[in-house]
Amino acid sequence: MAKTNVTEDSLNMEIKSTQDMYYSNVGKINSEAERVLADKVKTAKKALSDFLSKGANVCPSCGDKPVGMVVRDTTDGKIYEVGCVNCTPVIVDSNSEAATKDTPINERRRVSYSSRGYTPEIAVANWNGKKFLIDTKNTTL
Amino acid sequence: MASYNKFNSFTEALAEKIHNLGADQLMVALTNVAPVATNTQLSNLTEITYTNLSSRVLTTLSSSQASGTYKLVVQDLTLTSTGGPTGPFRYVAIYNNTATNKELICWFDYGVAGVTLADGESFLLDFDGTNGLLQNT
Repeated sequence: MAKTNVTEDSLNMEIKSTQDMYYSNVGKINSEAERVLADKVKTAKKALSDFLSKGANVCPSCGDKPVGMVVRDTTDGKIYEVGCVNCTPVIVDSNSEAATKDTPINERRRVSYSSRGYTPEIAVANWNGKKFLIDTKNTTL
Repeated sequence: MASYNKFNSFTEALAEKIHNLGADQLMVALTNVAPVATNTQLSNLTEITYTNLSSRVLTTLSSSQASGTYKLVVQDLTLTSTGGPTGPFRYVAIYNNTATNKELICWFDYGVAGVTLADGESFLLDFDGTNGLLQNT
């Protein structure tokens, strides 16, 4: 039998299937059986994350594998994100290379260990290129 | 920027098997009446009418820990009003729709001006991607 191609849609269908099974049984079965169904939901979500972060390098900060996700899904399209769930964002001066003691604090911005793109491939490429997400608004400390 | 506020009971509910954040369905509730930290379940809130509003179901993307720090990551959610207005509302609360009493998790305050969505207007809940909705250390 030919193996079905794995796609984002097929993985989302698997997530929905496992979720429906979990939701329809939660509270009606014993906790051990409930845990089994919950784990299937998590496994399905991890499969999608792995699919969307395929080819991504490990986190340059902690060395763990990043996650992949559809961070925003609107009528205008999807935004994908690849990022590290372990590492907290860092605050840097917007002109960090040229920062001096006179750099105003309202010029600081938050940089996350994550990258975005309109396709998973672009998000992965940005991650691998260390083009991390920078808040568009200045962060006042 | 709306700031995160925790319902006090959430930490106990986490420890006593009320929540399974990796699998349970989380939803958004909108209210124009200020929640308080001692609220515990959805029925404690005065919700607005959702007749014209799109789905309020959140998509959980990641529920995991590293080095003892747990993080919950959810997808951004766009709320769209269709067929008429929605609101006004000022507070966005998140609750567990799978839990028996729809236990509350947290809420955000969008400021005194409040939000009213006219027919066709949308409101984006931007949950900070990989940085997560919440952490538990």
